[in-house]
Amino acid sequence: MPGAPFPGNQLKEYFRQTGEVWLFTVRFFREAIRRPFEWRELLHQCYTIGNKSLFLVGMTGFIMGLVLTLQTRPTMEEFGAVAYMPSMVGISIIREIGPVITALICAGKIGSSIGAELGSMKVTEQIAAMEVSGTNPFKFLVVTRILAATLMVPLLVIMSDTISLFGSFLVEHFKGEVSFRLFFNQIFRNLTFGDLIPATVKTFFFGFAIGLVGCFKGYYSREGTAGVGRAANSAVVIASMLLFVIDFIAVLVADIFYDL
Amino acid sequence: MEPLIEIKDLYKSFGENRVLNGFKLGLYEGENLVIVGKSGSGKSVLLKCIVRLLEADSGTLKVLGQPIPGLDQYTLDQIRTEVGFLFQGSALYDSMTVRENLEFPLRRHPEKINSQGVETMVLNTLRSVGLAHTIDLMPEELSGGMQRRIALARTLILQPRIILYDEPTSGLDPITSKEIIELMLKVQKEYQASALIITHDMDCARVISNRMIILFDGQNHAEGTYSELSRSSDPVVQAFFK
Amino acid sequence: MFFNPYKIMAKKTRNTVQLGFFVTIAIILFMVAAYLIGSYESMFSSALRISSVFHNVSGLQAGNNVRYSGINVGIVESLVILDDTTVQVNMKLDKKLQPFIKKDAVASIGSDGLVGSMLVNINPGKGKSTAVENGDIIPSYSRVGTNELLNTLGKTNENIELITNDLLLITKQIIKGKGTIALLLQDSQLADGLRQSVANLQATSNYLSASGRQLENIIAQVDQGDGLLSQLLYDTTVIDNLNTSISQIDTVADQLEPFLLELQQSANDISASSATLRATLEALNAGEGPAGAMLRDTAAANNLRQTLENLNEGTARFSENMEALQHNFLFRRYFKKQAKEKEKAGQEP
Repeated sequence: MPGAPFPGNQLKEYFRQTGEVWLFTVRFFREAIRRPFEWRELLHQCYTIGNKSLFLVGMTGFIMGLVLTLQTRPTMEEFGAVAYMPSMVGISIIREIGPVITALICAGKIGSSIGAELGSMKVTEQIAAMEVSGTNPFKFLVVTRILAATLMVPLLVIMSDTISLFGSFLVEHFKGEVSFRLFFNQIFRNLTFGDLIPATVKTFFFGFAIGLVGCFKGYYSREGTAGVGRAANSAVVIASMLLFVIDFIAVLVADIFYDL
Repeated sequence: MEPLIEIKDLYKSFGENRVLNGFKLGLYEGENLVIVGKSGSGKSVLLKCIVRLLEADSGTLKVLGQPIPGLDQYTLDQIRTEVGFLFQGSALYDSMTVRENLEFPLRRHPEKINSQGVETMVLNTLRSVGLAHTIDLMPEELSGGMQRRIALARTLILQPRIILYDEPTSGLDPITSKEIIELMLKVQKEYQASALIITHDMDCARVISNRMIILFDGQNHAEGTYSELSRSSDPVVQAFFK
Repeated sequence: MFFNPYKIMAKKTRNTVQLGFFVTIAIILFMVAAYLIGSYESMFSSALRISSVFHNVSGLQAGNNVRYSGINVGIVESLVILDDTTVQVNMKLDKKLQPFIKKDAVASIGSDGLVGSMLVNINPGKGKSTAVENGDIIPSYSRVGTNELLNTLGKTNENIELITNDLLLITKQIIKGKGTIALLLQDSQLADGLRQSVANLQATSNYLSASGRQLENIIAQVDQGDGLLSQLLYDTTVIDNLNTSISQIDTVADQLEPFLLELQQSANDISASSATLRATLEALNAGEGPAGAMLRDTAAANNLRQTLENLNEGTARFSENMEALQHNFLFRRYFKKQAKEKEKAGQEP
């Protein structure tokens, strides 16, 4: 029943949704490994999610690197630690800021578009149409989108990291006359696999979460155009929240494995 | 003769709201059965139960001799390819071209592809609805009537034995409605499919029906041909023929 | 006109190509990053493993850099607590460095700048030694902490103060003690001749005894009547003068003896304190981080400067006294001159 008015009902609604998300996830994995695979749609979704987000992600990444460096520099200057700028910026971008900011941007762009697209497909009975023609809409719509998000978000993060490091380099270069080679030498000398690997692994989970939430909200959106809006909106909100939870878990797990 | 669709004592309720209350129906080979009812009388629910978009609460529901509730997914999908479904709002895949819309079910049921190949089948089906020239357009570039016809073509491409029409003329102007009805008659003959049509458009019912069922309060209220029912003295039935 | 499948196919293909391009670029970037990180991390794949034992590693961690003569050559692999006072630092170095690092190379803990992370400095040893081998334990140098450094300097300061006091006393004695020495000190003419003087105090005392003997010789020569002084013999006033002078010299020599001992004492003190100072300076040279810290710490720097000034002052006074002393020891020459002057003075009236 929509708009559950009592707290008890809200709690029940929460557990119902959680249960459904779980079933949805299980179904995803079952369908993902079962033939036939929707390769073409997967490629198409990869293109939509990856390439179409590239500009946005690159832009925010660039500004992120620029701003981070511009704002940190005076403080570091005060400590006489300007020489540590590249490694500091490098570590913070690669480990945390790059993945999280990029994932948030993706949650906004990809999550909402998946939520809205599937929501409107649901509302206009396109999903039902697929179902009654004996095809598997879950496989075609959900599995491909979740997989595409899982695969593309890490790549987007890599691009964003690179671009924001470049943005940071520009500031360092023009303010501190740091050469390209010195800048990147500094960054990579201070980075370890303990920084790169957990940061990359968690971006797969970020992508998965964005795709999953977007698909879930869209696939089960309620009838009507308002339902579509709600699906898109809650996809972004829940995905963003989930990203931080995953990030937190990732830090804990990385701590165990890499003994940082 | 074994009915294509056999429904007995079908019950379906949403919470307190009983939509289907012991409904029964038999659709036989070659007939166009029209079910007439008020909005919200559970007509769409009935259709959705037939293809298991919704699960009926209880009752017998057999399509092509197979009991639909509890059927495994594979067999269900096989039956679904034999049952076309024309949605009220066409439900074309708006991210795909007309061609892709038609190819979509076909490519996922390769056993339905005949010796002509996908390309020809798509074109032929489009020709039979008279819209071969729209093959590379996007659905949003088409008018409502054209969309409805493409949707019909998409249903036809799997060569179903039964076609379920959910308000085929809703949202269309009278002229377009008439075109659609004529097209329906034409393809019914061409594809030798039986049809179960739900509508509240009595013109549509008059033209297309061999037999009609009046659905009222979730039950079969009256049954007969158009002319039989139009002469009925039942006030409920009469209300439809005003 | 009806349909143009190629348009859509072409668009699809272009999209796929763009996707492929993007994926390739991103994967290449990742590989490059991984490679770069890997090349820094596994630069030591065929690693040279050596270790060193410290009492205090000042927060060193596994993964910190190891420098040899200021170049990053490896990382700290692990830290093992050997017992309650010692920690073994295991280091992983570039194999290529093996010939350069000798067995007597000294490891010390430093830090990378004022706010930098800790690191291990390996400095070349003094002597000639063979190259290290895998698993060697090289000696460590426990860098003195800033506090220790300041303590040492404080002690040095005290020492220098004592020395200065001693020297002051000596100078006073010299000035007050005997008119002749005072005179000597004021005699600038003598200076040049007196410069060829003995180098150290040990030799000086020998000289003193030698000059005693020579003095006897002079007197003998005077008695025999040869040389310049013999002429003086005929001048009775001169002889009287000479007699007084000689007796004065005797007393001076007597008085000089404790003074020399004192001087020796202060010289020892100075050498001791300069040894401490050298140690301090060496520590300063070796311990890179805290040294940097020290140098930037103005309070410490002022302290240090003060110390060095004191030291300078002390040494200056010491050399002054030394010179004065040297003047005193070449009595013979002095007396020759003195005699000449007296002769002149005698002839004048």
